[in-house]
Amino acid sequence: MVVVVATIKSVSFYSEKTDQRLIYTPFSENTSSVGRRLLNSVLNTIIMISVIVVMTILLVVLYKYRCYRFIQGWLILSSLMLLFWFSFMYLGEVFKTYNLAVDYPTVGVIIWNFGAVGMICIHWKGPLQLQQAYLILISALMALVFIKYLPEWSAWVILGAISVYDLVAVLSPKGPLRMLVETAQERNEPIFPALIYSCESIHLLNLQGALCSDRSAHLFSWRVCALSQEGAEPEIRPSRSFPEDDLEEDRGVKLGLGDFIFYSVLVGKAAATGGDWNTTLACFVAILIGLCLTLLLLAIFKRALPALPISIAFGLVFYFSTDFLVQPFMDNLAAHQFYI
Amino acid sequence: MNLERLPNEEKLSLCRKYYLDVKRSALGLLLWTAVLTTWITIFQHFRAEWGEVGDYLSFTIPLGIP
Repeated sequence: MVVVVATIKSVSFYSEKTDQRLIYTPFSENTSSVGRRLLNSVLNTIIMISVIVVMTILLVVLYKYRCYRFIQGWLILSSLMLLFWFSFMYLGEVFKTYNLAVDYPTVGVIIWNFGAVGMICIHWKGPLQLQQAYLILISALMALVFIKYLPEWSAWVILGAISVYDLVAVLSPKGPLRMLVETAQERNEPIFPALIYSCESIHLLNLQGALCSDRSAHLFSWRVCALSQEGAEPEIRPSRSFPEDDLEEDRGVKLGLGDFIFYSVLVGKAAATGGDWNTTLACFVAILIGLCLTLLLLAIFKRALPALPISIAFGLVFYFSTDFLVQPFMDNLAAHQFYI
Repeated sequence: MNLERLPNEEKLSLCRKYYLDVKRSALGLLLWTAVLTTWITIFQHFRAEWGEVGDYLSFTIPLGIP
């Protein structure tokens, strides 16, 4: 999240309004009346959410019918695109902002190294810290792309809708995500590493002695985001968080990548449009509190939980209240030189 | 293959093999740093003078008067 905020503040490319939109949000928000704008944003949201739902269901179906190669190929393609193309764009924008001249060979070397190491780290083996760092970076990149290309009100409505969807998909018995977790548990298989971020354990979660195979009892989050600039589809799954109890080093809580992305989108939007550090900080804190609460609930319930709703709810509440209540309050105080 | 269960001899030979790779990797790093630094200095210095070729090679072109 820090990376996203830093970038938003410094590289203006990402906060410029642009009329270019993702094909998933075809309704413009430059319309004149409020009602129309609201309608458009709701429609955008519906489209986006249905895309996500379709993707999730597709993934679950593939998983159920053991089309592992297909899923792997899909993941590899999308992470390839993320690692190479998006980081290329990002680097270009950063260099433009600082007005540096960089030549193609140097950029080529940098991007190639970054991408290749990333692919190896995420899909194969590598030091845990490096894998974590890469996952964070690509989540940040994805979030930046979202922030740039989603129109304003749509972004907020989408955040809200995604939390609701997450709640539904994880907790309801027929929810795709829940089925995914259960299938994985039945087969005692690990979830694809490209989708999950795993931390080292918090030892108080280390309770289930009976489940001792590789990564059983995972609560994890999935988020499916289909994002397309030219048709290629990276995807990330909706999220839930996971405690893992294991004999190997991969014990710990697992959080889906989609969680990172949407948290970052929230904070990034707050930084880009909220205009002030108060708002951004408030959102930051709200999300962290939400995450702690979710982890707490995880320890209590010991099953797959949606990680998004609580944090996003807090984040949204804090954002809007800070923006509309605290800000004018502080401005007035400063203007009248009145210190509390 | 669990690291703790290997006998000491094999652990030693394994360490030696990996250390060789580490040394080679460090050598590669040194080499690449040298090559890259040289190229970048040359490029930054002569970019304006190379005219069209300089522009063609450039990924981003800074604005303004140098």
